[in-house]
Amino acid sequence: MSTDYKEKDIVISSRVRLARNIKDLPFAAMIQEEDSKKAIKLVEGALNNQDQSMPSFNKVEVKDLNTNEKRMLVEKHLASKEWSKNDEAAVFIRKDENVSIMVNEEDHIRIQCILDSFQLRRAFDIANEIDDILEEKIRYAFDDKYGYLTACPSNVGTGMRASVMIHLPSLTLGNQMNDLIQTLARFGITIRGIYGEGSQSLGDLYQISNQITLGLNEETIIRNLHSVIKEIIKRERNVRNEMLINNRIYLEDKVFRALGILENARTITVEESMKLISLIRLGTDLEIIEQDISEINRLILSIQPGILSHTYGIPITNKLDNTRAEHIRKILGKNNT
Amino acid sequence: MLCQNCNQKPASIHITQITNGEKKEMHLCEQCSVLQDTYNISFNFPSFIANFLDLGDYSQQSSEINENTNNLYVCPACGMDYDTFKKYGKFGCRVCYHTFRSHINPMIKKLHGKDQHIGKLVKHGGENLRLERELAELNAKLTKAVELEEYEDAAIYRDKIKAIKKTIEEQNSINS
Ligand SMILES: [Zn+2]
Ligand SMILES: [Zn+2]
Repeated sequence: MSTDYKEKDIVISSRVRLARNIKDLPFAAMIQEEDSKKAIKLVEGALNNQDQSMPSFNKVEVKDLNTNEKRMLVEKHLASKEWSKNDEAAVFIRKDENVSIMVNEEDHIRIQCILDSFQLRRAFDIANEIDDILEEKIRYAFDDKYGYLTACPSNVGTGMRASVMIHLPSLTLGNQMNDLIQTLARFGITIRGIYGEGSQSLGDLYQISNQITLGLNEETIIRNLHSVIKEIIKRERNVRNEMLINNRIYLEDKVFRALGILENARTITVEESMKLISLIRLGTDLEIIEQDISEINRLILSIQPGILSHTYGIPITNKLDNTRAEHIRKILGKNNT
Repeated sequence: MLCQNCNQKPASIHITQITNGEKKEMHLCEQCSVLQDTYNISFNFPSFIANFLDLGDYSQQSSEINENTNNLYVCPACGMDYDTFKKYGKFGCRVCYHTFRSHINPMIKKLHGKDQHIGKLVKHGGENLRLERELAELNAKLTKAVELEEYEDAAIYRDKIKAIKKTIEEQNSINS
């Protein structure tokens, strides 16, 4: 496929989100129940109107979900936490789970496309296509000066947020993240990590996205982000290779110890799992060990509390750590045979 | 450190976001962090927006507006007042953008560096913007054709420009 796909060792996923509001309805801060229902109806109508050759959407309403089901949607990135707090909200999820349309989040409509690996351009094309389908039936709030009008001024203009989830274990180990963060800020690009104890990001995973949504067109935003990510990938690769040449034993030791713990642990937290899985990913990329990267990516998702508790039908308690350890052993064991 | 969300369990997950050099941190326990959408960028920004507003509005508008008259700015469509907007950083409806325009333009410019949309257009509406873009494109073509001494092409562009200008004028007179 495209060369982008080759970066799947480093880029986990690509996402594009478009924020839209319906012209004649108040925004989230001022909306009443009846208009919220109207927004859901309008989106539903527009989706039913679409070409039959397109994959269809499942409608999920917040009020029909229990806490665990909400968690699961958030962990799968199909809906946001903000969305799950509003009882009058719904999400339309395409059967392939690549596309979801949140209704009554901060904006009336948030179209989102998530794809595996480095496929920003394609994610944009898909989201854009859904936007066109909705526009057949829905009139958007739009202004000649400010473009697509959003509830928060930080999204106005294109309403577009493009981002990638990227795995940067070597830049993190090499203490280069602070430098990178400072550099990116100058390009209007935001980087976000989830930090565990200390300064290391949880699982060395970072989310990099455009900050500016007004005064640049969609093409430029995607192109800028794309080239910045390319540059980061290059840096990460350089440091990986350097480490491999200068510190092979140290690196091998870290990777094999991680594998040892994951293959033998009887109870493990999300935090510890993510740290160790990060090393497994790195070891796989450097061919120190052999694992299936897509399987590892699925593992990162499947150990999250909401998804895990759903898979095994048990509540989220301390016992979940035992189940997680068992689950990881099962997945890694399957890979070895 | 206790979890910011439940204030009960120790915070073990520390989320840091850096935007335009501004650092924001959240400290959560493992349970609470699950519901904090790790992939969603829409961090809660109200204080962030408020900072921008403080930078932007009073300095430019101080002769007309003071604290006491802020509440006179109420959106006629949704009823949101400027103080509420300032507090939460969220608009109540599309008309708010007009109601608070003089206040928010400096802030929007500060946030994005620009204040004119140049991206995708809606299919229904945005007519003037569409025409203005076409006009700019034709003007560029006209200049180029004249430079290259392709006068036949230039004449075609000139006529098209005239027609579009006329349409814009007509639309403006309808709207006013
Ligand atoms: Zn908590
Ligand atoms: Zn309003």
